[in-house]
Amino acid sequence: MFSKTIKKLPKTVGFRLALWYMAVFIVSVVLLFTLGYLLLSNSLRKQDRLAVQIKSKELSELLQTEGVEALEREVRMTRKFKRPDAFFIRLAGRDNRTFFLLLPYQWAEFDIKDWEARSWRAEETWFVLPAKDRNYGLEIVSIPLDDYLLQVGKSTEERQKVLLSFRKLFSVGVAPLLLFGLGTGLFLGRRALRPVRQLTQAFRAIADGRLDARVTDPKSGDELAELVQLFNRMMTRIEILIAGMHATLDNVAHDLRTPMTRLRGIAEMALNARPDLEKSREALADALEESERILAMLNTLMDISEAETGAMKLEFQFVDLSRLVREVLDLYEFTAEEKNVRLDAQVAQGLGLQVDPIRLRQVLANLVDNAVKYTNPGGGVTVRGRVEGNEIAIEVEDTGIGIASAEIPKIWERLYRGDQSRSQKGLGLGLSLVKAVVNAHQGRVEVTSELGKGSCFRIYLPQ
Amino acid sequence: MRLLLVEDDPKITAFVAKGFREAGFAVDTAADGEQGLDLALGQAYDAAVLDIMLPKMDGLAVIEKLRKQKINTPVIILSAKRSVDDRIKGLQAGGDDYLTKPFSFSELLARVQALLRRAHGRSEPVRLEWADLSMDLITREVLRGGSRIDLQPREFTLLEYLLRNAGRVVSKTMILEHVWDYNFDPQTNVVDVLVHRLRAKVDRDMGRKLIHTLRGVGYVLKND
Repeated sequence: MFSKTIKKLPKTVGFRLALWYMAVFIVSVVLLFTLGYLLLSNSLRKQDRLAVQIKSKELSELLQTEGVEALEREVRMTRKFKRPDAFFIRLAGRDNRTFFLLLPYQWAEFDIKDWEARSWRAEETWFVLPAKDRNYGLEIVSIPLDDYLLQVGKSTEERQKVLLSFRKLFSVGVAPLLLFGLGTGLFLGRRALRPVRQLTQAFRAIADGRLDARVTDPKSGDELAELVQLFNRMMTRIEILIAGMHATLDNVAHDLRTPMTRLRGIAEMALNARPDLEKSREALADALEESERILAMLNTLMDISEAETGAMKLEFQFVDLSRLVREVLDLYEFTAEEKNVRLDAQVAQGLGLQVDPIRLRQVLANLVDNAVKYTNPGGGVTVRGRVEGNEIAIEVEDTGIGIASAEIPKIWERLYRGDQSRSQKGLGLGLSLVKAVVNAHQGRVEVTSELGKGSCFRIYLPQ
Repeated sequence: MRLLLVEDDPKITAFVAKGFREAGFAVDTAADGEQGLDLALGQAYDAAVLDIMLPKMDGLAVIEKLRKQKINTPVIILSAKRSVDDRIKGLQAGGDDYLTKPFSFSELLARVQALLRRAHGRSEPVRLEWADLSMDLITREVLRGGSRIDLQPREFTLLEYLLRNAGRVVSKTMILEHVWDYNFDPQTNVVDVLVHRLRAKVDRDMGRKLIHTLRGVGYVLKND
C-alpha cells in the first residue's frame, strides 16, 4: 500500500506542484544570494579602494612636500611594525624600475620582474595583482607623479575571506533550503489539493454505489470550494432523481397490479366459462377497456413522477390566460350542458404568464373535469384568473358536493378516492397530477371546501 | 395498396400484418432497420409503418435515408416513447404521423388511410354522404332522410370527421386531436358526451342507427 503510494507519487499533481514550488523557491533564493553577494563584494571593494586612495593621497603628499627620503622613511617605519593591515607601496621611476617596495608580510613571494616590465601609464589606473596561490590579490592603484610612479595597494584577503564565508554559508545552507522548499511545496500542494482528494474519495464511494457520499466544504471560498459545493449540489440532485425513479417504479408496479389483476381476471373467467361467442366478445371488449385504463394510468403515473422528480421537460411559453381557460371550458362545454351545470370564466383580460401551455391545460382540464363531475345539476363552475401580489391565482370554484375537512389533506395523494368520489369514474390520479405539475412550475395549490356547498381549488403561479 | 411494415416484435408484426391484409393491403414485413430500408429502396410502397427502436438501424435513420433518396412514401412511426419531444423528433426526421405503443389497430389503420388520402391528394368533396345522411360542406346543411338536423359547430366537425372516415373506426384520441386540437388524453369523457349528443340528433327516432360504439376502441359510422 505504502510502496504503491510512493510509486504513484511522481504522477500526482501534489508532487508536481511541490517540485514547481521548490524550483521557484530555489531560483529566488539563488537570485537573492547572488544579488546580495554582488552588493557585498562591491561595497567591500569600494571600502578597500577608499582606504587605498586615502593612503596614496597621504603618501603622494609626503613625496611631493618632503621628497623621496621622507617617503622611504615612512615606509621603513611601517615595515618595522609589521602591521597586518599594511599597504603595498611601491615607488618606481619613469622607466618603471623599482626604487623601493613595501610588501605586506603575507606577500613574501612576489615576482617583481613581471611588474617592472609593465609600461608607464600616464593616468591613474586600478588593477588587481593576483598572488601566487591565486586565492587573493592586491587591489592596486598606480598614480603617476612627475618623475615617479607611486603604487599603493591593499590585500583583498580580508574581503575575500568575508565573501568566502558568505559563499560557504550559502553552500551549507542550500541543502536544507532545498529540503525545506520541497517539504513546504509538498505540504502546500497536499493542503491545496485536499478537496480534490476528498472529491476523489467521494467519487470512489459513488462508484461503489454509495450515493450519499458528500465532501465537506473547505469553506475557503476559492475555486475548489466552489467545485466541492457544486459537486455536493449535483449529488443531492442525482440522489433525489434516483430516489424518485425508485419510488416511481415501486408506485407504478404497485398501482398497476390492481388493474392488471382485473384484466387477467376477465380473460381467465371468459376462458373458463362455457363457450359463448357473445359473452367472449363482451369479455374481450372488457379486456380492451381495462387495458386502455392501464395505459391511461401508466401515462398519468409517469407524468406525476416526472413532474415530482423534476424530470418533466417543461416547454415554457408566454400564454394568454383567458385564452387558455376558454380552450379548457370549450372542452367541457357539452359535458356541463348535458349535466345542466353552468360554466363561467372570469379572467382579467391580457393576463399572461410563462408556463408550459400543454401541461397547464392538462391541470385546468383536470380541475374543471372534477368540478363538473361533483356538481349537481343546476349548479355552476367558475374559473377565475387574477393577479395576487407577485403571483397569478387561478381559481376553479364549484357549487358541488364539497369535501369533508378530514379528507382535504388526503385528496392530493395518489389513488386516494374519497367516499363521495368512489361512485364516479376516474383514476384517482387527477389531483396528484395537478399538484405535481403546478409544483414543477414553482407554484402551489390550495383548496377550500365546505360539505354540501362546494369546493374552490386555487393554483398560484409565479408571474 | 402496398404497405411495408418494419417491426421487430413478431407478435405485433403478425397482428398488424393480418389486420392490414384483411383491410385489402399487400403487406411486406421486415424485422430490422436494414432489411426495411432495403425493401423500401427496392420497391415502391404506398405507405410504410415503421417502429423506432429497431435492431441494426433505428427507425429515424431509416426515414432519413429514405428521404435523402427522395423517396416520399408516407411513413407512420410507431414508438414506445410518448413525450412531445420524441414526437417532434420523429416528425422532423420526415415521418408523416406518429403513434405511441400500445396502440389500437383500428387507429393505426385509420391513420394510414388518412395518410394515403392525403398522399393521393383527392379533390376536396363539397358533399359527404353515408346511407340516408348527407352533409353539404358549403352550406353546412345536414340532412337525415330528407329532414334537416341542426348541429353546433363541434358536433358538425365530429360528424364531418366520422363521415370522412365512414366505415372506419376512429379512436377517442383521434377525435380529441381533430375536434379540439388536443394532443394528449385529458382522461375525461368529453368525447363520449359529444358523441352522445351527436347520436341523439342523428340517430334519435331512427330505425337504423348509424353511429356505433366499439368498446375500448372508438366510434364508427356504419350501417348496422
